[in-house]
Amino acid sequence: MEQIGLAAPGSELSLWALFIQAGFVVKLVMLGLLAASVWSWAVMIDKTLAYGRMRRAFNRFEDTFWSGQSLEELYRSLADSKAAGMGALFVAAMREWKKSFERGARSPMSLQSRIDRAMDVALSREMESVESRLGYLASVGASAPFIGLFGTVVGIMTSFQAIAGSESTNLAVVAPGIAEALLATALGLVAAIPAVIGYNKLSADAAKLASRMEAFADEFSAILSRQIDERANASARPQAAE
Amino acid sequence: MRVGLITSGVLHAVILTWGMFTLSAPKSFDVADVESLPVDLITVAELTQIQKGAKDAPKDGPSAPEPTVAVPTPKPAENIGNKERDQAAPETETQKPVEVDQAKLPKPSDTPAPEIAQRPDTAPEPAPKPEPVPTTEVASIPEPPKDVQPDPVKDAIDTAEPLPAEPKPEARIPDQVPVPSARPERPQAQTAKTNERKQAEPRQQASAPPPAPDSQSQEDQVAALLNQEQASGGGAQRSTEQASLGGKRNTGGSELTQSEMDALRAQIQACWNPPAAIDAGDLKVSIRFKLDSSGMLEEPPSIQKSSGNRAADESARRAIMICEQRNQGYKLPAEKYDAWRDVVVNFDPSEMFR
Repeated sequence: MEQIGLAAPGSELSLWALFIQAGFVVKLVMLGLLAASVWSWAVMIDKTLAYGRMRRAFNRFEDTFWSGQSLEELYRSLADSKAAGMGALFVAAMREWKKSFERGARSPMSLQSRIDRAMDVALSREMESVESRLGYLASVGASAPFIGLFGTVVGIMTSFQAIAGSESTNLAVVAPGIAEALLATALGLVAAIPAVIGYNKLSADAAKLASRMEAFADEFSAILSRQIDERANASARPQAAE
Repeated sequence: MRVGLITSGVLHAVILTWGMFTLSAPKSFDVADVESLPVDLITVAELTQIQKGAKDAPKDGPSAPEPTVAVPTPKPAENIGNKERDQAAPETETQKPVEVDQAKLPKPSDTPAPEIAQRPDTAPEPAPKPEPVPTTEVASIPEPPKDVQPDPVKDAIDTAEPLPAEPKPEARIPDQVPVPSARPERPQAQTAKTNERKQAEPRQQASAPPPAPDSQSQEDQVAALLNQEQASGGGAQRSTEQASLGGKRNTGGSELTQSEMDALRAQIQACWNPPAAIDAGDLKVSIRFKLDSSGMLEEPPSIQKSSGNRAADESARRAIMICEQRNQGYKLPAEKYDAWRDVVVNFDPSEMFR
């Protein structure tokens, strides 16, 4: 079996030296944690940007929606482009609405429920994309410390074995191995702390977006139901007049 | 997603490279080499007892003499006038002869035996005396029957004068047999068991042989005077002890410990009857008294510092005397007599000190 070399007392203790001197498992753990950290930061940056974009898009959509513009026109302008967020809800509802009226559906009650359902589906689909990868942050935040700890335990274990081999309990012999093992825990914490904070922040943002979309869906549903009633009355009156 | 990934990667790379160069090995701790101080926890009593080795303590005795080195004293010249070889044979240590004897025992019988055989015969005659000496060299213990003389000579040899030639001059002077006989005395002085044994035999034999016993005894005495044991070299007795600093005993801590002072104070306090109706502030009296080793007063206590009030002074003096009688002497540690043979007690209504 290959002997695990102990860092000689007084050897270099810089970050790089600590990494190079570490054992295979510890190295693997540290690299994995580094990758996890890179990825979680990538997710956080991406999500932050995406949420900003989404919020702006919501604002713009709401502005145009409440500007008194004809819903038909709005639908026509949005249906072609791939709408996201509220736009997607709007498009889904309008599509259902138009389909129903174009085919001459007569039951306003079933139309209402169909529109609601279509919007629910669109909402859940949107939320899925909004919250995607947030789970990754959560799992990094929860598990990275343990992974780092695992690296540390393995590192300390091997360094103790090496100490036993070197037959010296001098702290100068003991310390480097432990320091390099502790680097793994440090990396785990470095990865986990931003991930936890980012997860909390981003999931709160996602919840806000979701509530905004739900509010819009409810409002739009109310508007549509009013329209349905008006149309039903309009169609009933001529009959009655006849 | 790509934007995020790239940004994150760049960010990590930047931080890591920064860390490579900045987060190098931390400065190692400065370790001050502090020698450990041995600390002993001792009681007050022990502290006051410490006397041995005190630098300012009076010397208990003379400092230990420095170890002396034994200088071998040269033997008197045996070949007078011969500067280079005044010794008949290389010197041997005084004590060696004994061993040599034993070692030689077998040998003598081998080589010199023949000579001996002849000489013993001649030995009885006074004239051949000088010759006997050589025989003595040879003379081996195992052969007691040989003449008396050989044995003494042997002994002489034992004593470190191996050469027979030397005796010759002496032999001439007395002209008689006794010369060899005188030497036997020496062996006595340097007693070795073997010698004693030998001597016992020689004497018996010596008495029998013709040589005059008187002269022999005289010679013995003279020889005993002349042939003193060699000076042993060293002068003063050697000591392995270090020169002393302070007393040898450490029991005599010269001061009473606090508890012992308290005991004395309690004894006196029990006997003290301070005069009533006197202002406490005026009552400070210093009484001095001397005690003998049994704790009895050697002389009536004297007032060292009066309070100015006769009644108070007298009450304090009385307290000392009453106390002595009541207790049959003060009870104080006898080994510290030096500390309490002369005592000054301050009487104060609130407290008393020695």
